[in-house]
Parts: sequence; C-alpha cells; structure tokens
Amino acid sequence: MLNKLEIEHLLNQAIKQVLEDKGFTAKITPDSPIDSTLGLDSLDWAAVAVRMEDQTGLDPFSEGFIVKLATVNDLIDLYVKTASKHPFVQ
Amino acid sequence: MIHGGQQVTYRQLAARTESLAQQLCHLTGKRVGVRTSSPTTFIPAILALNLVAADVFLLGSRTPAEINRLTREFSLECILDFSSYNGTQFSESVLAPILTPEPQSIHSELSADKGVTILTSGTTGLPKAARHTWANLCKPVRTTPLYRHTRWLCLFPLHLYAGLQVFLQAFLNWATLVIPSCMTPHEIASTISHQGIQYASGTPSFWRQILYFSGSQGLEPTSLLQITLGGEVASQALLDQLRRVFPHTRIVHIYACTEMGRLFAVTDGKEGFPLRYLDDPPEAGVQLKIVDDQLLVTSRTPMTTYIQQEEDQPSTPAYFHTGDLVKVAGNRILFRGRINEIVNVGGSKVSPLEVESVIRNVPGVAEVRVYPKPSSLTGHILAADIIPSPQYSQEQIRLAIQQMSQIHLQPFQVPRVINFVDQIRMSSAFKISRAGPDS
Repeated sequence: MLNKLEIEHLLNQAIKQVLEDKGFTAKITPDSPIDSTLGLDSLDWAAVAVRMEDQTGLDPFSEGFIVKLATVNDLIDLYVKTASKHPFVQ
Repeated sequence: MIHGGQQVTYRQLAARTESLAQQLCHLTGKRVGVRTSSPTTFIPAILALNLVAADVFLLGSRTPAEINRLTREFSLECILDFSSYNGTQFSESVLAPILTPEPQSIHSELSADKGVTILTSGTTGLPKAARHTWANLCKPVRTTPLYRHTRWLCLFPLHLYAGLQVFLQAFLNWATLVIPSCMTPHEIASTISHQGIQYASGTPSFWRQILYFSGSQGLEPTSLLQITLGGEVASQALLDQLRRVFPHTRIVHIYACTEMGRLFAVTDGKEGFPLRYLDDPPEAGVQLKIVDDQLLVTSRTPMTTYIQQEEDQPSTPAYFHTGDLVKVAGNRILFRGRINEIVNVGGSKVSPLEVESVIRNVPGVAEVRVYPKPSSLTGHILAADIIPSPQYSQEQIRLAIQQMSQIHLQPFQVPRVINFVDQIRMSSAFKISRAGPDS
C-alpha cells in the first residue's frame, strides 16, 4: 500500500506534468492552493486526478467522500484516505 | 438580474431592450449572429432582436476565427458583438450575403414563430443549428406566484438550451436571476451564500467542484430550496453526496437535449430514471423508447429545424435518436455512454475527431490521436497521444498546441493529458481508434 510520502511524490509529479503540458512551471508545496493560483483550472485538476489514477489505481472522487480541498496537502490526505480503503490496489 | 457587481431590474431591462430595439430595427428579417460574453447584455440583446423579428443565431463567446466559419456555413448576414458593450456602443459587422435569401420567405417564417437558433456540437466539427420557437422554449417553464421574487442561480451558458431554460424560468416568474461573476467553485459557493440563492441549476461537474473545491466557503446552512442538475449524467455517488451536504434541499436531475428540449425530471434521488417512464410518459407529449440500447425520444417542444444540415429534419411525432446508450437494471434505466464518438466533458459535448484535426495542424505534430479518458470529476477529459516530428522538442510542441488551442478550441475541447508516443493505436480497420483505452 502506498504511504503518504509516495503519494506526495506522485501527486507532485502529476501536477508538474499537467503544468508542463500547458507550458507552465510552478513550485508546488503542500500549502499550494488548489484553485487557479497555480495556473490550473477545473479541467486541469481533473487531468491531475486522471494521471494519479493511472499511476496509483486510486480514484478518490468516485468514493463519495465529503471533503473540502483547499491545498495540495488536503489532496494528499484524500489519497491517503482512499489508499487505506483499498490497501491492495497497486 | 445580478451578475458580479451589476444589478439590472426588470424596469431597466425593459428600457435597455427598447433602446436596443430602436438601434437594431434595420435587422428585421435578417439572419443575425449574436456574440456575447456578459449576461446583462445578452438578455436585452436577445429580447430586442425578438422585438424587431431578426433571425437570431446564438454564437456565445466563440472566437473570431470560428465566427467567420459559422458566418459562411450558415449564411449569416450580420454579426453583433456585444463583448465590449458599455451601454451604447456595440460592434455590428454587416456582411454581403453569400446567398441572397428570399426576404419574403424569411419574413413569413419569422412572423409565424419567433425564436432563436442554438448551436450545438456536431459530429464533424460543424455545430448543428437547432432553431427553437420562443413558444416551445417557454413550454417547460413552470409559472406560479410562489416563484415571484425568488432567487435563481444559473451556471449554464445563456446561449445554450439549459441556460435559456433557467433564464425563462426566472423571467416568466418575475424572479431574480443570478449569474456568478466568474465560474470558480469558490465564487459559485460564495454567490449561493451571499445572494441567498433558493434555486440553483448546473451540471454535475459544477456541483462536484462546489462540493470539493470551494475551499473555505461554507456550504451549510444554506438558503437552497432546490438543486437542479443537467447536461451530464448525474451519478448516484454525486446525488448521495449532495443529499448529505444539503439535507433539506430538493435535488432534481433533468434530461434534455438541444434538439428535443426538456424531456423529464427525476426527483427520487436515484440515478437514471424509472423503467415505467417507457410506458407512462413522464411529461406531456414526451415518449421514450429504447432501440438497440439507444434512447429515442419525442416531445412537444422539438426544434423547428436543423439549418443547412443534410440530416433528416425531425418531424412530429418521429422519434429522435438521442445518441445516448442506456441499459435496464431492474426497474431503473441507467445511462452508459454515447453511441457515436461525441463525449461529454464537464457538461459540454466534444468531438475528439474535431480536436484531432486541429492538433494535427500544430507544427511538430507528425500524428495524433485524441481520445476521452473517464473522469470522476468531469465525466471525461480529453487526452492526446502525439508522435512528434524529429526536429521539434516536446516543449516546443506543447507550446504550439497551447497556442493553437487558444485560437481554435474552447477550454473543454483542449486535451489536458498529453503523451508523446512512438506508436498510435489503430483499430482493425486501420483507422485511428478513438475509443478510450479500456475498449
């Protein structure tokens, strides 16, 4: 099962990749906001989630969780929560 | 109407409409394309053009390149551009007619049924032009004194069917229509809260964004009496989430299509719709049937005509092929995708084929396949597999795709996942396979 550090690494990679596809770079930290500040719109965040699912097999947004996502750290925690629900997903 | 910091009363709306109608009276009987970005100019413009009996095409906020193409395809005679309207100045380009339409025939068509032409995604890149009379557009609207002075939030673009429905629902009831100043989740949630919205309509993708990404803006306690979802399949997961976050709010999802109008509403909190709707029409004049897993429908609010298309003109009571595939699960009918390659990205229909043809023209792209990837947030997003030309770097190609997208594509049409590959997946017929990776 993926741990928080691994998830953080993969998520940073996914965000970086989507930014690169748009021709942007940005420094991503756990405190980075999940809004348009980084240059990503809602479809871009959906792309981040799709890339994460390709990498991890995890899709938190199909779980029906009620969560508020304000920062990258919130997103990391959401993936950790999803991973613990699906410990055998590779 | 409330839009950002602007408020327009009904009295002001009437005055603006009258004033515009005087400036536009020479457009009677002319085929007019209307480009708008602000709701507070869109509404008086449409009402004014209705008064002068112009033949209105709703262009939304399409790019100039796209508008030129549509002008040729639909023989538009004049383009009104209100994107920098300040109360007096708007741009009007009068074009030499490509064909010379018979003035009398246009006149007689209009005097019979005034309406507007809505442009919706086609399969080949050219939008379908669906003309609807105002009479038909108003039929699904429920008028009741209970709605007077209530506050309605519209998250749909006003130049599309769903947006026009929400506008009419407020307008015919003397209610207040609120449109957020920008469509970010935080702004939408903040608008719902600060404007005391009672009826809010949007796509499932918007509602998911509001639930997950509205940040510090609290959602409860809420003024919302009803949430309406439309334009995309509403999943059970989302309906359940909305029920938990808004326990006292009625949740409704609507099935409609631009060609046939609003078909039915589902209010039982479950995805799909009841099997009994096949025998027991959910609304007057609506008939549903399933043929080869595809949903076919008739309604009493069909479009009048597709304009300049070679497809069959639907005639009452012929069944319209929705292109939506369904399956029966017990006493429920569930949606399971589209029959053709059109996919729904956050409520907007996209043709991957059309996007592919744009990306193929990008310098450095030797070959490309654009395909949908399922997304729990937006239904689908588009991905592009690209075989690069040898002399170009990936960064150069990405930048070029960005630039091309800005000119030729709307945001939901832009591929959000870009992969550089050695080979493109082909189907057995040696055509580029547009199905997603799981097919």
